[in-house]
Amino acid sequence: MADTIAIEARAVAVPIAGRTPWQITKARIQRDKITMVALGAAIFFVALAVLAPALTALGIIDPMNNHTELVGGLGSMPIGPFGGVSLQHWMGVEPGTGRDIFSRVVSGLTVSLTVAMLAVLLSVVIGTIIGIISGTAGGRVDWFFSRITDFVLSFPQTLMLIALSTIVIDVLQLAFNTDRTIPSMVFMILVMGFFGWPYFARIIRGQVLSLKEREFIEAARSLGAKRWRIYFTELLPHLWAPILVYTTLIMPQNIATEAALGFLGVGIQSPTPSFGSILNDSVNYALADPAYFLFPGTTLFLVVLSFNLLGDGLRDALDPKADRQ
Amino acid sequence: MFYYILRRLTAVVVMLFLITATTFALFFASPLDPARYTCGKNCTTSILEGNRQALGFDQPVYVQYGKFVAGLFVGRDYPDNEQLRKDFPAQIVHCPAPCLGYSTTQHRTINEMVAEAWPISLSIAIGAFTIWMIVGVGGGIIAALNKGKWQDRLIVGAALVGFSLPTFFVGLTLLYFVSIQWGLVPIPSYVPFLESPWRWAQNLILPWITLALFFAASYVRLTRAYMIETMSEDYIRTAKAKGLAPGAVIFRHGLRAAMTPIVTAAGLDLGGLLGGAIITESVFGMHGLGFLAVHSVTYMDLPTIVAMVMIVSSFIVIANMLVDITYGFIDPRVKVA
Amino acid sequence: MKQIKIVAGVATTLALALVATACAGTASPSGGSVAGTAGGTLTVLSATATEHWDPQRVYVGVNIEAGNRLFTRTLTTFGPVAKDGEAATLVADAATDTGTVSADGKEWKFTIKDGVKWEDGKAVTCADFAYGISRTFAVDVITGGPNYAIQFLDIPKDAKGGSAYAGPYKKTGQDLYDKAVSCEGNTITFKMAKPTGDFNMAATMTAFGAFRADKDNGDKSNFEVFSNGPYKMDGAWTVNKGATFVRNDQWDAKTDTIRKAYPDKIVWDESLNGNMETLYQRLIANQGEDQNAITFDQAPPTALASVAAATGRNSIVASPYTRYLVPNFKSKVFSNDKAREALALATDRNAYVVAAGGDQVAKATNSLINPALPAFPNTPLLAGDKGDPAKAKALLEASGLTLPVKINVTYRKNAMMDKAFAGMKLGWDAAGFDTQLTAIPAEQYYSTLQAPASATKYDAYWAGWGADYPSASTVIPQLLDSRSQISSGGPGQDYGYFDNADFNAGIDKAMAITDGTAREKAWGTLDTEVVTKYFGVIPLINDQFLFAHGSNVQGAIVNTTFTGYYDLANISVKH
Repeated sequence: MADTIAIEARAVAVPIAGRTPWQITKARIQRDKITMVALGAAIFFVALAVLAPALTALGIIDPMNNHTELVGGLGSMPIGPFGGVSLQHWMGVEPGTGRDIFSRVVSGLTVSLTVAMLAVLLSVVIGTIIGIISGTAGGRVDWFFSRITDFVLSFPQTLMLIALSTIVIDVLQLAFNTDRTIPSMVFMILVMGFFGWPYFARIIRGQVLSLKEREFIEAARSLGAKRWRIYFTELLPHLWAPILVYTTLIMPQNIATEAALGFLGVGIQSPTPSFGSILNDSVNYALADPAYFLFPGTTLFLVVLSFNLLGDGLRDALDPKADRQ
Repeated sequence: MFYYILRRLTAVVVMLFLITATTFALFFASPLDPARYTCGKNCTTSILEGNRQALGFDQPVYVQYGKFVAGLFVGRDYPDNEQLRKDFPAQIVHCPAPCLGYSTTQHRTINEMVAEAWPISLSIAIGAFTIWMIVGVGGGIIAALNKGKWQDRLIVGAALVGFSLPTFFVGLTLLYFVSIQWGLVPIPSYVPFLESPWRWAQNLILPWITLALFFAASYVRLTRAYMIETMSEDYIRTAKAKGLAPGAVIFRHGLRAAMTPIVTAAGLDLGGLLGGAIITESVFGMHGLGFLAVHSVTYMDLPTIVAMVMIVSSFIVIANMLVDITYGFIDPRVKVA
Repeated sequence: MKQIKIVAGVATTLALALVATACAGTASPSGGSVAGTAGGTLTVLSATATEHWDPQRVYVGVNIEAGNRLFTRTLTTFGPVAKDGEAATLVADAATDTGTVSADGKEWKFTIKDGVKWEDGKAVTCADFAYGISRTFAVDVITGGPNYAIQFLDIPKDAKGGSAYAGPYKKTGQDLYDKAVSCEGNTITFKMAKPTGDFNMAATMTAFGAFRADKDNGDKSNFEVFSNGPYKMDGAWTVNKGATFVRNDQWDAKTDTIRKAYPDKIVWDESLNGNMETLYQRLIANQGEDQNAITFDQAPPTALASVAAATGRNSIVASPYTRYLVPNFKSKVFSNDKAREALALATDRNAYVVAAGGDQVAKATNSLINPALPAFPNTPLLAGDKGDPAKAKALLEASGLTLPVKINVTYRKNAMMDKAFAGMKLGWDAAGFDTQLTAIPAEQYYSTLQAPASATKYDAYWAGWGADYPSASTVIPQLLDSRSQISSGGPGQDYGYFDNADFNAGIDKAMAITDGTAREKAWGTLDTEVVTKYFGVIPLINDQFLFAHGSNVQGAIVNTTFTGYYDLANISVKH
């Protein structure tokens, strides 16, 4: 694993004088059309996700109510061409219930993005703290945390997610005394966040190692600044760039993981829509009702793609040399 | 170097013990009662107790873990019952070392199950690996050499699309349309290589493509980045200036330098994949290690879950070790200290 | 069925069989006559893993059906039928007749036919049957099977409710078993703890089949087949692959009036384990070998339309199950009588029916007993199939609980059930409940319900039940007799801890009724009572099974009385 650290350590060069790093980045991004489009798409999806609960409350979208009159025949298939697509139902209706697929996809965005975002945040917080500590402390502390990182990375993440879901969601539900939606979301956030921090820890550690020897840290140290102050006030501002880049890149991975787990029947509990809980059902309809197969799947693809493009663009903008995973 | 390898090996063993112990603690200390899952439709207290005893779940967790570890070294007998061994020796199943356990749902040793599933996962991993290395590294080189041109944009764009497509979505689309609807390839069902190499490949082509698409995408980006970096280094410029043929420069000098990180990543990815590709195997109904893992979770077959976690982790940990050791050999900058 | 011993106290056993038939409500002669072609290979495609082949451990309809028709001859069995859904007749199989019962209903005798042989040529003896049935008592090894032998046979119970006999592998209590099950030449005698008028129906399950002691490898025998029927397993069973059944040359057709055994080979293919969608796509495509294929897996909702379109190659039959909802009497909410009534009133069965795939594949019901059973009371729905949330709300408001009333409802997870319960939740919520849904993975579902801890976690459960043999005495007492079900170890199958002294008295009364028809009627009355008076269960739907088969398969008929799947007895392959 040594090499990854070596690679990541060089991942983000600190920009040189003149304009602030942010100005440089902004200028670079604005020149990059694809990234701008991706940024626009990402903002659009996030905005939809944020607005969805309000839209539901106002009755503009209706993800929960059945419209059994819109489905019929053996298998309760949507009535009308292409999965019942109409002016009211832009993506058609769900077989078996007649629920509006567009509404469910939009509401699903809220849940999926929330889970993915909070999981990244959790990874970032744990990863940054551990990365800074092991980077600055060095020696035994560094060795210890590196072994912990190795340990966590050695667990099969998907398998653990599936295996733990039955037990943990149950326990959480009892603890929260709510329906299963929140516990299942918390579970996904905790487990995805937990298995995600080592990546951040390694990156941050590498950054800290390269920053440690630089003058301003030396200066702070010689001025007698406390250790913790150095860690968090002097170092942190120099770490935002890699954190931002990797947050944007891990985010779509988390979205995809949530969906994949849904495919395996694990994760967000129905009837709460999420990419996972929608695709869990819709993937079986590829031949019987292609619209139901394609619309949610394509939306998921677009969301993941836009975040990937954005993350890529950000990385290029922050350091054009470091175009790698 | 010898001591370095020895130390790494020790670390691997320690890590595996920690992982299995954690897994044991997580599942066996959970509120679930594994005996309930084998108890049947009209389960009574006494049947439940009989089941629990038969499965060994009535003993404390550390005893169960101790037996598990002992089994890895000296093998185990199932059921571990002196009386039965005397009266009905035919009923005893011997699980030779390294014994991974006895499955409560498949009624046989996990060693047997793994021996059956492993060739399938191996076949999937190796085929997909070959495809993605050729496509990914090749694509990366072409993109790097054409940096900024349309070829570069096309390849990098395609890579991002491939990377953003969820594996199960790609797999199911291929399965439903290429296989079922259009009948271009048979509906995947594993055929051993030795039985018929042709049918082996025919049945595995869709899983290979599905997995390779995802990985190829990241190798395109990886290769491209390293190629661009090395191609701009001084010694490459010197080589070019010397008048070396472009092909020689690319392959003898450029790619060689870029190869180290690619091999590293490839080793780690392949290691992770050898433990089974859960999604791909589920999509195509391939009964490899990934499918076995999911199956053991749905049936709460605890011994199998623990064994699967251990196997998958072993692959990851050992792949890491091998990559590190290889790195020590090929890159003198890595301090072996 | 006690009519048997009074009316026919001295009658022949043939008469017994006929009475039993009358009870099952059929008039058709035994053995539907369907022309078949001998030879060829039949393929059974399976997307569900077989858990056991060991006759004493088999408790899944598919495996009871296949086990009985292929390699485990039971004392009695149900004959094949000529048409989908027709009721089948109880007939003798390895025994010479369907058994003789003593006047008090506590002693059953069967005589084993001559010429019934194991695959190694040795005769199937009374001792083999006694040994086979004794294996059920080894609860720590022979897990998963039905425990009717433990329930019925006259062997004392210990303090925990377990049997004093611990099975053939431990020596404890062997003398007790030998007293309850004894052999005299070829005649096997069973002594029952209580009058058991329908024991000869229970005997159709493979758990009451013979097992040769020298072939018993305990848990290792789980997938081993040692045949006394027309087919034997060729080689060993492989999980996720299956095995091929070939002819057993020791089987003598003259001793067997039930099995035609047309195909030369039956390939049981489980390589599609976990891939139901693919399985049905293959069956519908009907290509190559798949033309000779059948399946025991019911079509998933996604495949319903295309299965129905494959005319001549499908069967739509009533399943033996009733899906129902159980309010938990130990929960704060549903210990309240009005809350249970409100739940029943607000239940939107239509949402369930539509989610299941429409009214051709599911029918709303308000009876716990399946329509296929003679005891079916056909209790009318309380408020139509969509329920009446407004009326329910009024009730709930009068119940003394504060609205919205939080309830936690569990169901067995799959995509269809997700939709069904999402739909019913709308109705319950409209009535003033605040419904939280808990989907539990299928394999862990019933064990979760039966865990004592669930009593304080959940307020209502989905459940499904099908009679083990066509008598409501395998329904009402099995699900609602608190005395036999509830223990410190959990609720048994009385998942909701329904415990009503009057009702239990009713069960005893029904049990004591001597006239079979009258007794089934009493079960029906009890069913209506628990549903409309106590709201102890809320029946939801009866589902229909859809199956498809390849175009070369002949005689693929669903035997509703016996397990509810394609009957292998008369099936053949055109070739």
